[in-house]
Parts: sequence; C-alpha cells; structure tokens
Amino acid sequence: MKTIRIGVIQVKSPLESVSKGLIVLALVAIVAFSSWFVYFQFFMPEGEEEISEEEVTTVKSIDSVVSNNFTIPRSACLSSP
Amino acid sequence: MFELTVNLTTFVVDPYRVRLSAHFTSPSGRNITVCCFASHGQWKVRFTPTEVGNYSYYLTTDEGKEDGLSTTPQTFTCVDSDNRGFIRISENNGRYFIFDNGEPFFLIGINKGWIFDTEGNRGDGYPSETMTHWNAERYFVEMEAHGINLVRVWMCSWHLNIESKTTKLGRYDENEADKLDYLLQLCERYKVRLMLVFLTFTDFSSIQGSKFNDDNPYSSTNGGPCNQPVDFFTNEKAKWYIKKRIGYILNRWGYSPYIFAWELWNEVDLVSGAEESHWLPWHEEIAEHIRQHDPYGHSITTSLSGDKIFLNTFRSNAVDIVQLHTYKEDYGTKIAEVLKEYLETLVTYGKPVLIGEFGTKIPTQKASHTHNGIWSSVALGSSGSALVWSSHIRDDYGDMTDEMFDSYLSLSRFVSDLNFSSPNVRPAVVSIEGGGITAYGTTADKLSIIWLTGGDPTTELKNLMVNVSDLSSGKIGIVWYDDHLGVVISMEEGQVIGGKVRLQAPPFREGLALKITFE
Repeated sequence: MKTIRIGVIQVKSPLESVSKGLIVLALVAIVAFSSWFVYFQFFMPEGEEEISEEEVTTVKSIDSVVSNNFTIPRSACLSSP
Repeated sequence: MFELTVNLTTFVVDPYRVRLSAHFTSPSGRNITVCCFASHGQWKVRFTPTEVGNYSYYLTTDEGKEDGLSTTPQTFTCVDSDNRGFIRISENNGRYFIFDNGEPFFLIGINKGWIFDTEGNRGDGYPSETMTHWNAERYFVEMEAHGINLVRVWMCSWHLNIESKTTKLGRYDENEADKLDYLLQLCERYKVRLMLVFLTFTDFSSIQGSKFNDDNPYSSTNGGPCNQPVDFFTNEKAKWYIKKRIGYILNRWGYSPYIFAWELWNEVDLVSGAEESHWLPWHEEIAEHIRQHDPYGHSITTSLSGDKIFLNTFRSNAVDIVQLHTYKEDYGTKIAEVLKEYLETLVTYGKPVLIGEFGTKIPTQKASHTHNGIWSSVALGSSGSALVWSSHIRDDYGDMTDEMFDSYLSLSRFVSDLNFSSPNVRPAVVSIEGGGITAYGTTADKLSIIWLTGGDPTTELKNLMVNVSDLSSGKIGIVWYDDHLGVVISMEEGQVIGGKVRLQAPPFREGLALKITFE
C-alpha cells in the first residue's frame, strides 16, 4: 500500500513562536533605523528638523504667574487718552 | 517695567520656542501683545506701560490652537512719572530725535564696544561677581558726569555672546543675557541710552583671525549651516536662527526705553565675500521681522566700514538712521573738513545721520581729533555728536582720556537746550573777517548754531567779525560759548535785518561756539 504524505502538521511550542517574532521585529527595527539614519545624515534638507512647526514645545499647564509690582510708573505719554 | 515670572509645565523640546504671550489692554483700550522669553528655567514677560491708569492682561499659550491655554485677566496700575519715554525720529524733522513726551534728544555718544571685557579674558566665562563689581560701572559714572547720553555696545563672540558654538544655534547663554540685563540697569541708573549691535563682521571674516571657523556657531565647522561667511545672508536655516535670536532679544530687552536703536551689523561690508546685493535683501527681511515683533518701534541702523558709502543701503527702508564710520589717522584737527564733506551729502537723505565711529591711534592727536570731531558733527547737522572709538583692551586706540571726556562735557552743555525738531534745517551761511578761522554751522527757523575753529592756542584773537546770513529777520538772542570749557562767555541781543547780522566775537584762542535764538 502506497502511503501518500499529503501534509505535515507541525506543532510549535508558544516559546518558539515568540522568539521568531522578536527576531523579525528586531530586523524590522534595524532596517527602519538604518533608513532613518541614512536619510538624516545624507538626504535631509538643511534646517528641516529645527524649522519644522511640529517641533514646537507645547505647554501642558501654566502653574503660576507672579508680577514684580502692581503699580508701575509710566514710560511716557506715548498715547495717553 | 512691568515683569511677569511664569512657571510652566511643558513637553520641553526647546524652552526658547515656548509660545507664551501676554495680552495687555491699556486704559484707553489699546491692545498690545508681547511674547515671553526663557530665563533659568522660568519664563518671563516684560512690558512697558505708556498710559496712566489701570491695565488688564492675560496670558495665552499656543494661541489659536485647540490645546492652547489661557489665564484669567489680571490688572495693574500705571501711575504718572517724569520718564520721557522712548526715543523716536521727530515727525517734524526726520533728521533729529525726540522723546515720546516731545522733548528733543540730542545724542552725545561714545563707543565702548566690549564694556564688560576684561584683561586677559575673552569675556566668555568670567564669573558674574567679577562683572557686577568690575569697572563697567565706572564708565557710566564718567559718562553721566560728562554729559554723555549714548553708548554703542556690541554683541559678538567675545562680548554678550548669547548664542555661541557652546550653546549651539537656537539656544542661548542665559548668563551672558544676564549681563545685558545688568548693562541696561546701568543705562537706566546713569541716564545713558544704548545702541546695541547685533552682529559684527569680525565674526564673519578672515580679516581679523579666523573667528568664523573658530567661534561662530553659524559656521559649518561648528555644526552651523554656512560653509562660507557670505552664506549667512542667503541660507534659509541661518536666517531662521538669526530671526529666532533677534526675537529673544526683542522679547527680553525690547521693553526698554533705554535702547536707543538696534544696529543690525557693525561694518557689514567687511564680511568675507559680501556685496551689497547680499546684505541689502537680508537687512530688508530682518528689519521687517523686527518691526513686526517690536511693539515699541525702536529705530534700526547698520554700519559700513571706514569711509564707505553704499547709497542703496543708506536709502533703504530697512535703515532708519544713516551711519558713517571714518578713520583718518593723521588728520588731527582736520577731521572737521572730512566730516563736512560727508555730512553735506548724507543729511540730504532726510534721515538722522550719525558718525557711529571715528578716532585716531596717534596719542598726541587724540584730544584735538576728538574735540573737533564731536563739535563739527553737531555743527554740521548730524543728529548728535560723532561717537569716538575707545577701547580698554584688544586694539591700539586706547581708552577715553580726561581731555576727551572734557570735550564731551563742554559740548553737552552747549546742546542741552537745542531743539532742531522743526522743518527747514539747513547749513548756516557764515563768513569770517580775518583770523584764519573756519566756521561750521546749522540754521533752523528759530535757532542757529555756529562753531568757530582754527585759532592758535597761544594767541588771543580779538575783534573777529562774524557775518551770518539766511536768517529770519527780527530780534535775536546771541550767546557766545567757550567750546573747551562749555561755559557762556557773553550774552547779548541783536537785530537781523534783511536776513543778515554782523557780530563781533569776544576774544578767544582755539575755538568758540555761537548760538543765535529768534523771538
């Protein structure tokens, strides 16, 4: 009787799956970082990073406001009413 | 000055790009917005009120954005004072300056480019206690005592260097900035105005060492965007950073009425490889930036190297004050003739003209050169005295001497009541009978000043006759001054007939000044 193998069902352990996943992720990260590094070093237009509006610091909260005085001598009659 | 100190919690990428603004409403309802600046981990807002009464204000962050914050309105009261306000170009005569309260400002100035610089120290790191107790203040004591009301000071790689190759572009040395705070405190204490120079060719040139590559954060050798000095005028990244730096300057020191003017460049034509076609568009762009962000409207000037005149630069709307530098090493007393040649042309542009630098290295000529330079510049229609170059370190011109200070004092007394803020200012028409004396003068509708020079210090001149014409007919007051002592020699009354008057000068030796006032 001829036995025909129509397939192999391989059962992996969960630990082995995670390891392979991590290796793939690491490879992806290395490729992504290398691409960014090459772009940053050689292809990014001058000033793009610093001038970008996205780089602006955002203020989360105004914690306190202190004035130096509540009575100030005026500078001059620039535009007095 | 009204100052707010603000503590923020931020997602810090760059403390110098925090978008925090203060919005003030004046008693008359005028709205003024000023931006904050970062200082030692806090943010500050400085504002100068100009109206008496109650001001209200509130702060905003990231205005216009959804996640922007806003504070509840607060108030403060502005009370009356005898402060004279900011200095502006007179609307009645664009060649002279006035304060906001209408009083004339006739500038009497000197150069002290690196006033904090100390012997053997490049100015880049001496401790603050050295600065506050060092001799900078003695110059202010001397300036006030001798009637000097303006000092020209540089920001450069060895002085007030807020943006350096150490800080990197876009970051600022707040200890250096603190020194400028202190400088303005001295200005206020001693009633001396400040002409602040933002940039100097010295940091963008190979003429004096290699500061561009050694010290300049804009140089590519220090991580900056410019391969060559001249790239500074056209490189977009460089322009972005210098605008950011100037924004910091405006936010931190623009409040001050003791800032007389912003000077964009010291002697810009000496930047290596630079032509007017490079620096002029840059000046126009930067001046526009300043006018958008300086709510107090300080005047803007720039300068060219010795005896250089670039007409398009002087005529440009970017330049409010025409500035000339001139160095004639062996001219001694003849500096007056040099200035006459320049000023007769430059005053025709209708802008204030200032001799921003002049001087000599020859020790025996310094006193007479200075005396004649400052007196002739005033007599020839400049907006104030020429600014003599003086330095206690770094070059061979030497420091101010007692004789130089005394000349400034005599001039300051003479100009103390001058007011040329009227139209129709013109060169005085004067002829002298005898004595080998030369006259320089300026006439307005109600005032004429004339300076006589060229006398022999050892011989007293008597019976010199002075003919003045092109005057308004009528009664006049005549005051004769000793130009060295700055004291009145004699006063008399006279009559102008047919636009002319003939006056007999009192006996004098080297020089004499004359003031004619009209009823």
